[in-house]
Amino acid sequence: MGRKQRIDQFFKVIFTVISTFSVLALLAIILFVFIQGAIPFFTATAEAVHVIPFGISSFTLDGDAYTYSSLPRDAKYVELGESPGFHTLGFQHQDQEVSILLDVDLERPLPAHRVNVVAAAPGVVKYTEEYVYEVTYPGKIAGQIRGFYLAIPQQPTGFFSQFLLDTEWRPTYNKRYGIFTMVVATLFSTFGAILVGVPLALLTAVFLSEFLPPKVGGFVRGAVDLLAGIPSVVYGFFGLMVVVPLIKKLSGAASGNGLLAAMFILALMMLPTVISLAETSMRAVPQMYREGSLALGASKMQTAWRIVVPAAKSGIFAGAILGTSRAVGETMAVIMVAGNSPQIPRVFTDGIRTLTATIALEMGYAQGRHNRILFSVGIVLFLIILVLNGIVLALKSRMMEDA
Amino acid sequence: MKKSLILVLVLLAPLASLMANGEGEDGYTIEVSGSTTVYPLMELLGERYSELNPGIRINANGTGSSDGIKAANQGTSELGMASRNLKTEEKGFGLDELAIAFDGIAPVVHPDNPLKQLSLDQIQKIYTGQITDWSQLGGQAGAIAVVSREPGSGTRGAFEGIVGFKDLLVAGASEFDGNGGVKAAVASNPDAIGYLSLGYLDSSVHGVAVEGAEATVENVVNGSFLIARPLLVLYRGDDLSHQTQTFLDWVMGEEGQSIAATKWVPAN
Repeated sequence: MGRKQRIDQFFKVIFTVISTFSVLALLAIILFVFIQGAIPFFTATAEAVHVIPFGISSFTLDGDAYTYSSLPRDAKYVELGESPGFHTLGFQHQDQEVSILLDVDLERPLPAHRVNVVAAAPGVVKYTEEYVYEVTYPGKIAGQIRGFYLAIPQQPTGFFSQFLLDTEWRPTYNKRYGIFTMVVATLFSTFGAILVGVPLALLTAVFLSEFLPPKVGGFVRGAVDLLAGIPSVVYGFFGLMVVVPLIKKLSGAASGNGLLAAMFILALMMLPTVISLAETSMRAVPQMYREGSLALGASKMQTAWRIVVPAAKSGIFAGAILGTSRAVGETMAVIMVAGNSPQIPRVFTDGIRTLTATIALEMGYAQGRHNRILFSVGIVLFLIILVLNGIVLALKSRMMEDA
Repeated sequence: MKKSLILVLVLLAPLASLMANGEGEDGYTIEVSGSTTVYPLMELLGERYSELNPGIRINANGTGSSDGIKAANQGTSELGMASRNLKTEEKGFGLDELAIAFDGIAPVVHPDNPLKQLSLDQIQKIYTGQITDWSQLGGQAGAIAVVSREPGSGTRGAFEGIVGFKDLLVAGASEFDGNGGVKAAVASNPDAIGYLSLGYLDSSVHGVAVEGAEATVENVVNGSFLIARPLLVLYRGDDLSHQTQTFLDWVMGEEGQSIAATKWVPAN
């Protein structure tokens, strides 16, 4: 084997290894997101009720003694047995033995009924949030509260009934994870942006490639490409400082943050992508098409719209797809102008919350099931983009057949 | 050859200086992340502490309360910051909590808005959608633009808990990212009402008195300003390095608490 072949062989091995690893890494990421996002629909948050002591150093549960320090360092709770029945929780409070009787049955329909707490005086039992009981005793020092949290496991979330088609997004105390409003908002803002952005981009592209002198056209083209490189947060800032106050002034609504502002900014953001691709493909149309059309007596305008645009159709479509994907996936600019209220918009000035905005806003704050649900939102976003691209591809192939 | 050598050197120079800065003889970086509300205080504390102890750097990030608790639990940050009490599931993590200061949450409006004060009841009605127009509060007619924080935010949790409308925010209220987002939204909209940590109050917005008490540090201390909550630092006691322990002792000591007293309410 010659030296050249050995070098070739060497690089071949390296390329194979690198590409295999990157494909595997991508697959692993997708798998991770899918697994995280699927968990809330298949499993409960825990198998049994968790008893979490606070301000209490030692206690007994059904006769077994526990001390706070002996519990595992990252799991300071005790699980109640799975089978329904009564459990007794005991601890020392102000030199008195206190015992709390718990009646547990996880099969009961209402979460609030799955645990019944009979607290010994002077304890206070509160159902502080969905799936959580708080049993508190005033401490020896005034104001210092001690007691137990009883965390009831959340059953699997219904994919359609409690997630995709539910309109209530109240994830903190009420544990409602309905994303229907966000799916609607994402679709509305994206289609709105397409309706405004694509025709504008097409007109601009025709003007650039067919009507402007090449020198001026080249300059404008450069400027458009520059626009594509501006970070989205800059568009968002422009929207927040200019577009939002303007919409408020013109519409008289309480706030200019909303669907209209989001549509406008998204349309603005997809313009450079669509213009650039459409214009490139129009310039790639052979010059003789135009010459033939003009020779037959068609005007310049007729040539542009009847000959050049149909010939450049696939490039225009590619631009529209890319622009749409950018609009669906856009996060930062939308967060800044859309108002982020999880509701179905009734008028154009109503605030909307898109799927991406939800993930970005709440990732740092979510915990437990709320956190996993954000991954599920990511999956829904992924599916929406798949479906959108599928539709556009189908449309495109049909138009190719017609042509 | 010479050119490329120079290029490499130029590229490497910042890296070298970075290494020189970061790890000195007794260099130590304390990673802190969490609540955007505690963040400005931690910045001030860190700056002063690094002046006193040149080897120690405090690297603070404002990423949100829940993230801070998560980071402290998983050990990605040595200290977590939270501006709300821990939730049930988080209590199970077994983290140590230290209240380094207390903070008020002030309702804010645009500086042009003549509104001077609100009762807790009125705030609750605004945020649950029972009061929707400024004329119902004695102002000029105009719809109220309700501005809130994102779900899970420590400031939002504390505000909703104290005012008494847990997770009942009116549909259509705008939700913004961080105290800064709320401030920008209120400062640019004369019809908006929002709420901010005391540390974020400045002249771009106008703080509203609650139940007759102005939103000031003194009023939080004497208890007349009702919307207040602790600012927590979370950590694993058994994993804490002695440098970090010294830092926390300093924070709770006289000088640390005097810094906390500038815009917040000292814990001691």
